[in-house]
Parts: sequence; structure tokens; C-alpha cells
Amino acid sequence: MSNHHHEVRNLGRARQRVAAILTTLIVLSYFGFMLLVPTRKEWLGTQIVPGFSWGILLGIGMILFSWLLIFVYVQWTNRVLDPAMDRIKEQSK
Amino acid sequence: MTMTILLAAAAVAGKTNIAAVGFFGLFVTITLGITYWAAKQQDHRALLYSRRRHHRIAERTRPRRRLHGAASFLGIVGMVSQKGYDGLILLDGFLVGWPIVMFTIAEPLRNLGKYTFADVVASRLKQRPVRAAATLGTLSVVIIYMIAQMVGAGNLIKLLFGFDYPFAVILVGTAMLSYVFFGGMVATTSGCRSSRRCCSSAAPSPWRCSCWRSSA
Repeated sequence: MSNHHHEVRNLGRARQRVAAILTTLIVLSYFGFMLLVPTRKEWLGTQIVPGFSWGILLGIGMILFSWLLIFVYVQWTNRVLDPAMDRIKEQSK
Repeated sequence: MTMTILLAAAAVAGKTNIAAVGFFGLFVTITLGITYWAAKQQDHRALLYSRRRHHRIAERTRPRRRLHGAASFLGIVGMVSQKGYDGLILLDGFLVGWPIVMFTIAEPLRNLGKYTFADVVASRLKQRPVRAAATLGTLSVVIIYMIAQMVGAGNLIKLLFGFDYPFAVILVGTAMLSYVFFGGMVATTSGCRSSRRCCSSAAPSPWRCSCWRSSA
């Protein structure tokens, strides 16, 4: 019984670690992007191709990055977290 | 009926784009029809919902998703019309909020078997003040979103049809209210279910994740 308790706790810690890393990544990138708006406004307005500026590129990149992080999290929960939880449930029966 | 109002308005406004107004009227009529039809189907579906748990979860999270979708779309239109393409940064705020919510509170909520954050807090503390605070918070956010949406929709209509801005806002407000009156809020959301399914399969989202995982 105490062994299962230990496993569940470890699993919970692993989840918190993954969540903390992903949250930090997204918060840093978002606030980094937002800080560019007041500090490097001229550069964001520079156009790479006429009609397509760095600001638009980074804005779209931000969206794709958040999708990527969600994808990573969902993959991790589907491959690691849920199977481990199911295994613990089976053992504790 | 919608058409006659619009054409009368067009005659008043003078410099209106008749083709755009016509298409707008057509779309409003078709979607109102679908809403009405969905309202009639609702009774059968209500029975089905109680059968499977993940459907109920989807049903609970749906209004928030709709709020985000409509608010981000029209809010961004509003910002871009006022501030140019700088308004696009608003788009990132919405999308960055989702993953943070998902990483931090979605999993504990699922483990507790609760649907909303207010449910969790209310299970530990007194129901009434917690629910009141949660409702107040939600309503104040919704009102601010609504203002951005109405500005966006009003500007969109103004640009497309050439109406005066106050008239455009009143028109959009009337159209929105008539959807709710004819179909009810549930029908308004379920009428577009299939299109949203397509959207949610294109973009990973907390809702989709909770759907997968709770059905597993």
C-alpha cells in the first residue's frame, strides 16, 4: 500500500515538473514577445517581405509555439502519465 | 423579414453596398433557420447527454470555448480596425492563456472530478459566496469581451455595408439577440457543433484533450 502511495506521489511530482517547464517556456516566450512591443517597436515594424513584418511573423510563431507545447504535453500524458496511472490502478486492485 | 429591415436601412444610409447587405441577410436567414432546427432537436439530445460523462464535460466547457472563439475573432477585428495590425498582438493573449490553464489547473480539475474552478473552491468553502464571486468575475469579464466584440462587429458591418456606426452596432446586437430568442442559448451553441468539431480537430486545445482523456 505504501509502495503505491510512493509511486503516485512520484508521478504527481513528475507531472508538476513537466507542467512547470512548459508553463515557464510559454510565459517567457509570451512576455518576451510582449516586451519587444514597447522596446523594439521599430524592428518589429521592419518588413521581411513587403506587407509581412517581423511582428506578424513572431505573432504567428507564438501561436504555433503554444500549439507545439500543448502537443508535447498531450503526448506526454498519453504515453507516460496515463499508462503509469492505469498500471498503479491495476496493481492496487 | 430581416431582408426588408436591411433594405429599408440601406435606403436610409444611401451609400450602401447592396450585394454585401444581401449576402449578410442570406447568411443570417440560413443560420437562424439552422438555429431554430437545432432548438427542436434539443430534447432528444438532452437525454443522450446524461448517458456519457465526457459528453457532459464537453457540454460544460463548450460555452467558454465559444466565448473565446467569438471574442478573439471579433475583438481582434475591433482592435485592428482601431489600431491597425498592432491589434494582432491581442490574438496571442487568447492563445497563450489556454496552454497555461491546461498545464496548471486542467489535470487537478480532472482528478477531482470537477468541471469548473468554482466547483473546486465551492466544495471546500461556503457555496453561496464562492458561486456569487465566480459569477461576478465571469460576468465582468464577459461584459468587457462583449464591448470589444460589439465594437469589432460594428466596425466590420460599417466597413462592409457603409452603415453609420451606431446603426451597425444596433443591427449586430439585434441579430445576436434574435439567435438567442429563437433557438435558446443551447441551440445557439449546438447549431454550429459540426463546424466546431472540424475546428477542434485542426487545433489542439484543452477541451479536446479533456475529451480524449476522460473517454479513455
